[in-house]
Amino acid sequence: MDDLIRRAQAGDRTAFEDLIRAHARLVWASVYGWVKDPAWTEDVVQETFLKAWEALKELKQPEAFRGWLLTIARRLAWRQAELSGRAESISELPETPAAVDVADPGDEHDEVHKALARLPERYRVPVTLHFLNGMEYGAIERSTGLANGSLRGLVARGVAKLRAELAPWWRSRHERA
Amino acid sequence: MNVHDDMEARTDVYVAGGLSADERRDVDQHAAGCAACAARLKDAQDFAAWAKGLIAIDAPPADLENRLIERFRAAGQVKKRRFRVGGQVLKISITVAATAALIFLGDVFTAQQSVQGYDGYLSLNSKLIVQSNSAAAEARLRALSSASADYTRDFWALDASELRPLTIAPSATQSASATLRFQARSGGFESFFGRDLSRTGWSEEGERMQRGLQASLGDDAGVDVLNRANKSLPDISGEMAKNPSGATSESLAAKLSEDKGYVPSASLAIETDAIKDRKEKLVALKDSAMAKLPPALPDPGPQVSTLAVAKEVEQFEERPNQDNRKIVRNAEATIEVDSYEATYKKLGEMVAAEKGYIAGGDIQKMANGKIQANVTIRIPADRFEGALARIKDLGTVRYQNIKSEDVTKEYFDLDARLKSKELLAERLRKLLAEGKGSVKDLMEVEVQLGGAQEAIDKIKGEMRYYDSVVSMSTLILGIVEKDLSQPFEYVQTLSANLALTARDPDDAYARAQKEITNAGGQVVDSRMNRQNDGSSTGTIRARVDADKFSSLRESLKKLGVVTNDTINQQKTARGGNEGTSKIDAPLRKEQALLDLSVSSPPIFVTRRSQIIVETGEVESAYQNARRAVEGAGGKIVNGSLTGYAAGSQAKLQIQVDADKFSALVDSLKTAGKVKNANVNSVLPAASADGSSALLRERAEIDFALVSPQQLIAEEHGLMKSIRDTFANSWAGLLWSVEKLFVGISMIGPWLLLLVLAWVFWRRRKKPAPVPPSK
Repeated sequence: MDDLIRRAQAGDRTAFEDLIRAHARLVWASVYGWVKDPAWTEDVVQETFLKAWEALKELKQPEAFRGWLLTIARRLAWRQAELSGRAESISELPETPAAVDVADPGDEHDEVHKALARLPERYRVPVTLHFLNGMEYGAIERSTGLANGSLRGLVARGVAKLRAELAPWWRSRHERA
Repeated sequence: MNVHDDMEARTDVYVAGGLSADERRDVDQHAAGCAACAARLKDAQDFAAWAKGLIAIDAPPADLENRLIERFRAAGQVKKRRFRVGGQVLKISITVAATAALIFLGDVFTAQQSVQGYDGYLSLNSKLIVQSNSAAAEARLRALSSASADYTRDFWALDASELRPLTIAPSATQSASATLRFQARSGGFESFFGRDLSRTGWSEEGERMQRGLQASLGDDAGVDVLNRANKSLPDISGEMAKNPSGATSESLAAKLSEDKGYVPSASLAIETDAIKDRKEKLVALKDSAMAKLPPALPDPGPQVSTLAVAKEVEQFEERPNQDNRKIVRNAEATIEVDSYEATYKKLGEMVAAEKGYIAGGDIQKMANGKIQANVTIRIPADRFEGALARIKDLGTVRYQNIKSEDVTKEYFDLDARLKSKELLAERLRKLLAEGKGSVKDLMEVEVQLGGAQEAIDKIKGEMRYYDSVVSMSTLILGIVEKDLSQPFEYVQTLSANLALTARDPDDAYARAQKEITNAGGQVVDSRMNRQNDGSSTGTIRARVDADKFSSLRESLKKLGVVTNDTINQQKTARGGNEGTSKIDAPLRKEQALLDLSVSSPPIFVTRRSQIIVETGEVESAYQNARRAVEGAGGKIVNGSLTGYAAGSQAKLQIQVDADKFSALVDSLKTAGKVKNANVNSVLPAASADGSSALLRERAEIDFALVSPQQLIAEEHGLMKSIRDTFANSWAGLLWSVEKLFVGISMIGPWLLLLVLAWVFWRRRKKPAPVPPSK
């Protein structure tokens, strides 16, 4: 990986393409939490990599590449969220689902997304990778650079939190079924 | 290890596939025997499946990496080729006929579109605001689209052209909005337009691009989308047929069968359903209310509900479709032409040919004769495109901006209001005709009728306005003639400085003024200065016509010797930008400004003389000399007469014109016995050009008168020596006495102080007297 980064820093575009391939979904998962609209998400990811390519020479330590990339992504995502006025959907408190019995799939979708977005990033990214990208543990580990033990803990706690947040919705769903 | 205790922690990891094969087997085995753990496991699995299923629609595309890389490559190529529209965004708001493609979503009330080109790629964003009154209808639409996610995506696919739509994602607000995004890759973009966009002339390219996109979206692509949509329609109707509401399905199917290119949306059909429900309820309400009321007078309550029903029915029946959408299209353009007159004539013909008319305009003629005009043209909406395209035949298009505004909603709102008011008016009229009720009631009805009629007239007026702006598009055309910014004239300013010396400055000064007046010039300012040494300077500032300037200058030069002659000539362009030169612009010469100075020549001393004359009568000789100097026109700079015991002495410092010098010297010499007389001559240095400058030559004479010397013999011999010795001794004695007194006066006070201190000290030291012993 460090070798790829060094080659990319030297201007090797194919090396950077490999880097895109390795990190695309990680960045996507990170951005998805901030930006609601999946189309915008892809746009922000795209922009992240273009920005990263331009600024790659400024990266001093190749081993910090992943964190650096995610920082760029986060900045762009926040900007995007601000621009599209969707920041509020993330920060606002969960609504008490008093009238959940008339819930429609659209609202449920939004609730799941909000709950996911509210998770701390270290839980959110693995959970998103697993849920939305259908990635297996090995792939998630490679992508996030985590060892098996900690990843398991993160996923378990992330899913547990998610379940706690969504419990009212889930229950009402259950009862209807 | 006890699996049961650990199950809580392991469940989610198990579901997420994070357990090793051994661990998973352990869990499976345990769950098989433990009902509580099995239920927990099932719940976790169901939950994960539920949550996953809900947000699965947001999942990134399978080829995410490839798409990112593809665009990364495209961005790189663009950079290599130096295609840079730069950080500044090329932004063109596009007014597109793409609405044809957009109606699928339902009632499109507003469509905003913009094209943005960044460094790397071009993106076209379309935003649709879709109105949807009923929450239930919206939910149904959503259910429909999420049930067939692929369908929703593919629905918009437009790969045949350069434009690639990404997704459509309705959001869950009350009035649903959908974002439709197309993205064109720069590679295709470039080939689309044939050549690179360069920084210069981008606006022209922008216009071409705009037209290109319009064509591809409005005609070819739009038709393509329509065809695809038509193919997909059976899917929609199939979906709808599954719904139990028979009427809805029928009405939808009926509309679907009309192959007019107009596709009614799901939301529209469902809305019908909702309105129908409400309508029935309202009718029931009305009936029950009517039943309860006495039949004498109309009650406003049920009347209102009837009207509301009528309104809703009208609204439904009069839903705008593609054919009667009300779109106002306006444009602004600026063209550059050779001649305004010819263009205006051609424009008139063109407008007439397009069945339009010229509504107004203003025209401005610049100082350089170029014309700048704004013409307002009204053209029937259906011929607007053609007229716009023909504008470029008139001249070079420098700017063009097309705007369109969809006023369908406003228009149909007005229409609905009109209908309800008319209904009201009719009912009121009927009431009046029946003449039931008290006079007061009838009066009230009449007042209401008047109000309704007024409202109807107002609405009709507004609708007529909309009709006019929709049927006739407005084009504001700016016409500018070429080289609008060229200068219309050049101005030559001439100024000169002329300095002369003349023997007689006063005469030259007067003659110069005369010369200037003769040349038709005008003396602005003149003055004459005189100094003590007899020199004088006259200065004249004058204005004279530029063509008389050089002859005047020549004649003025003859008045004396020229010491300075500077001419400053400047040519400036007026009206127009720096740097745009126009050789044939007329040259206007401003009056020349002449600064002339005439001064007397400088003084130069050419001869010097020192004369010492010895005479017994110094004083009378002195007075005679003064008179002689004055007679010769000379000037006494300094004079003194000193008397001594032994005689007297007089000194005179004289300045006189060089030509009077010899005579004066001769007359001064006659005063007595000449002891000393010398004369020095100095020649003036030749000026740089070899000609001798004009000078006032002066001579200086130092004249001294002395009385004859009194001669006394000097003392010699022994007595003189003795006398000198005694005199010296006496002087030495006096000197030492003087110094002695000086010394005493300086040391004395200190000595006194010392003595006093000593006495005091001795007193203190003396022991106290011992009392005498008894």
